Amino acid sequence: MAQQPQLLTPLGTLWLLLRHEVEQEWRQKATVGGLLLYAAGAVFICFASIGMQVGMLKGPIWNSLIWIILLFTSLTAIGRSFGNASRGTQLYYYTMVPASTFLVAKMLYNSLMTSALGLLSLLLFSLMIGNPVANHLHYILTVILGSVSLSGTLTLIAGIVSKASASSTLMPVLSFPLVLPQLLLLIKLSKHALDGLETDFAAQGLWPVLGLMALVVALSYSLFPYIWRS
Amino acid sequence: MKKAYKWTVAILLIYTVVAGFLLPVPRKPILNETIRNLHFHVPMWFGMTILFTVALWHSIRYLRSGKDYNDIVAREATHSGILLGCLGLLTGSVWARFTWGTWWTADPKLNSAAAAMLTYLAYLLLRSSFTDGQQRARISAVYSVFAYFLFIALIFVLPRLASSSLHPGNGGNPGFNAYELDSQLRMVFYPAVLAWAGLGWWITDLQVRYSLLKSSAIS
Repeated sequence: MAQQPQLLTPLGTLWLLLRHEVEQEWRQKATVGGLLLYAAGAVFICFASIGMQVGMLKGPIWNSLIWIILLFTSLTAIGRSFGNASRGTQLYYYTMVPASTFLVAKMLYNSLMTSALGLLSLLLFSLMIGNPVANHLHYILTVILGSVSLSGTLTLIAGIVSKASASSTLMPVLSFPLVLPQLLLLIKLSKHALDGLETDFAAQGLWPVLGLMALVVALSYSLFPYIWRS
Repeated sequence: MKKAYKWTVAILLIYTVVAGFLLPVPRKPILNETIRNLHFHVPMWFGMTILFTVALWHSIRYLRSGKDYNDIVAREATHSGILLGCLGLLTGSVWARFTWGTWWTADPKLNSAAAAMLTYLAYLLLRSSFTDGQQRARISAVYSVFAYFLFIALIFVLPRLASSSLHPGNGGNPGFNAYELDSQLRMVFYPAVLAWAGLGWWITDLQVRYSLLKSSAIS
């Protein structure tokens, strides 16, 4: 695994950590499979509970439903991101890499994973329930942007929760109010893609989303070392 | 010195309540007498924001110094902030009943306010889920700093980005600035801000001293 990371540049360490994270996930195929099934199951529950009215589901409600699915999938995926390493392994990381590099690697990995899960959910949702989106490119971009921005918040919260005595409700309880600003802005941005009336992506509320994302990432970056120390 | 502070706050509070209910106010359609809520609902939320800012300051101090005192102040300031927030929600809800005709509605400003309260209630839950005191203090301080900035985004940024809102001061509605030319309101409003924030800090101070006494009695 890590060959003397202290000789590596920060970027090299980051790359190594990211690769390690992917490898580790790949070895435990059950968790990846579990997340895929989670997303599929969530979409299917929506499909089945809407029942006969599936064809009538359009516009804002379609949009809200898919963001709720994305939120829950990311919550489940990221909630366990600090839990799987044993105490000894964590101590090993602690001595080998700086906290901020470790956090950025986790965030990047979580962004990749939630983007993949998000796009998959979107695909399944479109296949089962239909897809009223007018501007597909903008919508897909928004989903990726949303996954990255939610990962920013949820990764730090997962770090916080991992230090508390295990409580399964703590992760959602801490996350729901904190992701609400991001979620509302994302729903607004994606609604524009759904309507497809505006062709300029940046003019539709992209800056607030990016601004909030920058804020969250900067805060996590400066706060994570304090979580890491314990 | 401490006595002077308490007398000032007590007098300001009495003034706020008496003058807030009795002094003449501008007559506006729909609002009528409910405009007096400006002296209760709004300064309570100001006070809450001030207390949460105190909590932020002491959380940062705790992360830097690791002194128990900072952790206790951060905790107690959050407690009294939540208390003022709840009072603000109640007074706002009563006001909405008589101007909008409903106790609660899905308005951007109201949603944000509810989410802000949930954020800080979650802080209480987080605090209670640690067994180790130092760990609790540090992780809660991290959460408190993180939550504060999203709280600001929720309360002050999101409602302004929303396309429509019923709430005064948002969505093109006149806020209290529009009536500010009316010095009658101003004469009570500014003392009321000091009064409610002062009351919040008074409660916080008492709780902090009580906690310090308790911890010194144990050790």
